[in-house]
Amino acid sequence: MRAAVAQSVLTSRLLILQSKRLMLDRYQRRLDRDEADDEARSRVGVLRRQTDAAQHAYRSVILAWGSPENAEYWIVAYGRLIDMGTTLTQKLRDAVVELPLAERYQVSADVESLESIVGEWIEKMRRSMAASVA
Amino acid sequence: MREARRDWSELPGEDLTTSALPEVAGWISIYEEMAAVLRSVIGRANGSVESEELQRNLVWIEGRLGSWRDRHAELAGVTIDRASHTLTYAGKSLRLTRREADLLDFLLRHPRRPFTSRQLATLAWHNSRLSDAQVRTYIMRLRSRLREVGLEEVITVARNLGYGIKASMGGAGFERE
Repeated sequence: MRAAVAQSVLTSRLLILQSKRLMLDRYQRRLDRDEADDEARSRVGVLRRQTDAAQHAYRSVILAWGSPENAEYWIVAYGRLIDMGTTLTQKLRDAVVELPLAERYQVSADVESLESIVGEWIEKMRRSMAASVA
Repeated sequence: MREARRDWSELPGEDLTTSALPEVAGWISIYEEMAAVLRSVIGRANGSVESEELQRNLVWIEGRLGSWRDRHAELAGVTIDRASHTLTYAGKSLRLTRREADLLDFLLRHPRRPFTSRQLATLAWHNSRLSDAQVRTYIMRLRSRLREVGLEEVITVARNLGYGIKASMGGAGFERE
């Protein structure tokens, strides 16, 4: 029962994502043909945001409902972790010069450890990607 | 972290009192999100080789999260002695009840996030049987107590989201009711 529900949710989210991508492609081609087409430009902006939101929703559903036996689950899981780890590393790195020495020491140590962990996640995501196309 | 702090001394022109409060609150949010995703993935893939390795990552992240939460409270200038339920702020002390101390400590350690009454009952007090009205009463009482040390506005309310910590304490600065 749970597997059937999971599959339905995943399929519906994937269909939404694919339809948004198709619409975005259509308006993008229209805009490429005529750069003065303001309606197409406006639609491209809206659809790009909607496609990003649909992508985020699809990934969230994969994490919540996807099977860890499926390589796609791990690609999404590691992708999400890598995004967060990279954002955090960048924020820490940006802040480090402004900080008092006590924080600077801690933050530099955090950056080093995080980079190592994110590196492991990237390697594992690559392996999952290779497994998904094998 | 406090040990590391003792190892360093101030350089000429260096201001060790500079507040890194907003930055620390931002890092805490991302560490929390990473820990949540890791817990979810480990829960789904329980027992696999991947989950064992991710468990080690989670232990490190939770360790850092704990340290930065302590540092955040330190930067906010609020100290809560959990044993005696005593709050110290700006040189003033205030004796709280256990529930009040647990609630304030929890909110200070989780900046930039609003919590519903139900979440507070479960996460701050580990008591899911408290009603929304009871939690609201505790919040009102705590706010009233905090007035005695000049912290009456530290707990903020975000409509439809819940309770959080004031922006100047590293919180999100939610709109007040």
